[in-house]
Amino acid sequence: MKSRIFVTCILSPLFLFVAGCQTTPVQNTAGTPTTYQDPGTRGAVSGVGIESQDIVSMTDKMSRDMLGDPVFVGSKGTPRIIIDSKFFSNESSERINKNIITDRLRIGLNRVSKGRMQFVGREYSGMVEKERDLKRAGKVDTATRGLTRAQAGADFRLGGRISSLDARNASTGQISRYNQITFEMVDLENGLIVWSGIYEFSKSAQDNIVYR
Amino acid sequence: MAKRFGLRSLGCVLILGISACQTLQKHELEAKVAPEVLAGYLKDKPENLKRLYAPILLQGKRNLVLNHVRIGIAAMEERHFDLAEASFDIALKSIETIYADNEEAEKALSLWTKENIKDFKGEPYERAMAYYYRGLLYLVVGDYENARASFKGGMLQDAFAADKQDRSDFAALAYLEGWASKCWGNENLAKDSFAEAVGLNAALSAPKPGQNLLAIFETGHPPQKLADGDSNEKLTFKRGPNSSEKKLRVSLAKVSNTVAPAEDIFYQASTRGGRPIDSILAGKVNFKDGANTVGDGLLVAGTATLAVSSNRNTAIAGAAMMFAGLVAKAAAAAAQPDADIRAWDNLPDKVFLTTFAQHDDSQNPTAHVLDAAGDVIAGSAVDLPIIGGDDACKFSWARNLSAFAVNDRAPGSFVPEK
Repeated sequence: MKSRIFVTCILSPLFLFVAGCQTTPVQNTAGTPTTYQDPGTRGAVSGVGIESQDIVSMTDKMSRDMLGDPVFVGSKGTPRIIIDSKFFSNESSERINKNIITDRLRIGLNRVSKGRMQFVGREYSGMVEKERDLKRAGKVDTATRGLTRAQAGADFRLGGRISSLDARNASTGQISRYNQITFEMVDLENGLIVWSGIYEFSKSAQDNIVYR
Repeated sequence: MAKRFGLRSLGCVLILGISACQTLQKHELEAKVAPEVLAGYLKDKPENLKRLYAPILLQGKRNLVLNHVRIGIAAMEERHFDLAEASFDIALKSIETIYADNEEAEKALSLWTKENIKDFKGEPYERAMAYYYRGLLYLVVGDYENARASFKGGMLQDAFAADKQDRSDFAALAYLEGWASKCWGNENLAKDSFAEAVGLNAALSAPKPGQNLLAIFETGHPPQKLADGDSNEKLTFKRGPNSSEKKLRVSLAKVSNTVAPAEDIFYQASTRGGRPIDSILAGKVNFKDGANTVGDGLLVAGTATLAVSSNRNTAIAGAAMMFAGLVAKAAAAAAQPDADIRAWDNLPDKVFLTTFAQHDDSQNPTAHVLDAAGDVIAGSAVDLPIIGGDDACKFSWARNLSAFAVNDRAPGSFVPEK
């Protein structure tokens, strides 16, 4: 009887030690298979900056607003517009490829306006110039659409600014960022701002305590 | 006889049990990666960077940021700017991600798991320096808007110091934000940032009109992270060795600037103050100490009871007390209060910066380290080659210690398997 008690006393702690020393599995084994995510919804990895869902929302909102504005649609003649990131500045605390915003805006408008707006690809002007030179030098033929006196001029050009205001609470680890993205369409003849749009949002988050 | 045997056995179990609870935890082990898989991953990497890339596969997500920032700075030194950009982009993406419901972060709070199970994001000074280098890489390619945003982002990482005066006091980042704004052509933003930089560090001054070259020289070894306290629960910092540079003379043609540090990285590391996790680690230590004390008491009482037992019941009671004592000791031994001491080890100790008007591309600035008397230390001259920018905003950069002068694995990131 006594020997059974001792054996139990010996084996039980041994088992407990072994179990207690078990820890979490190796982190580096299995990965996560690739999954498609809807760019219009919050992704698996997120912070307080501009993310895909914000870009989708803001460009959709600006497109709808511009398409409903009589300056662009319904006025005499089809307006020619330059939408690129050249005059779209980033004064925020966030690194960003501004082309993601301006490209989506331009392409969305171009598809939806169905010819009611024309878009000048000014960033491609060098490429166009080379082809024009080849045609005029007779090195290539004139293709099928005929020649023009010059590349297309534009009536309006997009300008705008990305700004942010950041706040940190050192005691709680709470961080928040107010993001403001302004869009303005400038008349390239007289400099008047003929249309403005603003998209703003604020995000707040708190990292796990182990990272504060 | 049987009693004596039992006591001895229990003692052996106690010793074995405690030794079984080694400080090494499974998450600290490297993954076993097939050699052909590793070779395939490293195939297109520059030869001298391969040893720094290997831990990306071996240590996985937990040390992804740590390994990429080490690669980034080394790749920058080797002028592999595309690789450096890619590494810092990966690192910053993780740093900017909010780990609000992260499983590993939760485990780091557990009594039985070390803090270092969490994915490494670095201490605030390390995060700020990741933004600093990403900003420099934007300067190289002349993307001044994103350079400015990156430096500003770095400053925000420095906002969690315990003392108010130590928050967002990274003067070099404010200065560089000003420089990037100036290069971008936004004079208003530049003016504000230079004023902020000078307010934080009086040794700095805004560039004079016509100055088109920013020269940066980084010196010394980075702060070392140490685990202090009886149970290694306190994260402390020690200045890196060979980090005594206090002043430089940076010369270009006939112009010489005496330059004080724009940033002291050790100062930034050591003025962060207490971390919220420290109280959790202290709680783990309290548990460990308490369980040890209870365990000791029960073992002594159990042994005494067993020794004087004259009947079966008393002997069982003594054995039960010893058993409970062993359980308490086991729990104490299994508690893991160790502070996370993984560290970015190819950072500098100090950042010096100055500006020049440079019109002759064939000349680079040269930095000399000065001694306490202000005299040039012989043999300390280092050429600061221009590595990027444009005519209006050139950028030269060098270090007195190579980013490659580190081990294959970052400190605290690797425990050899026995």
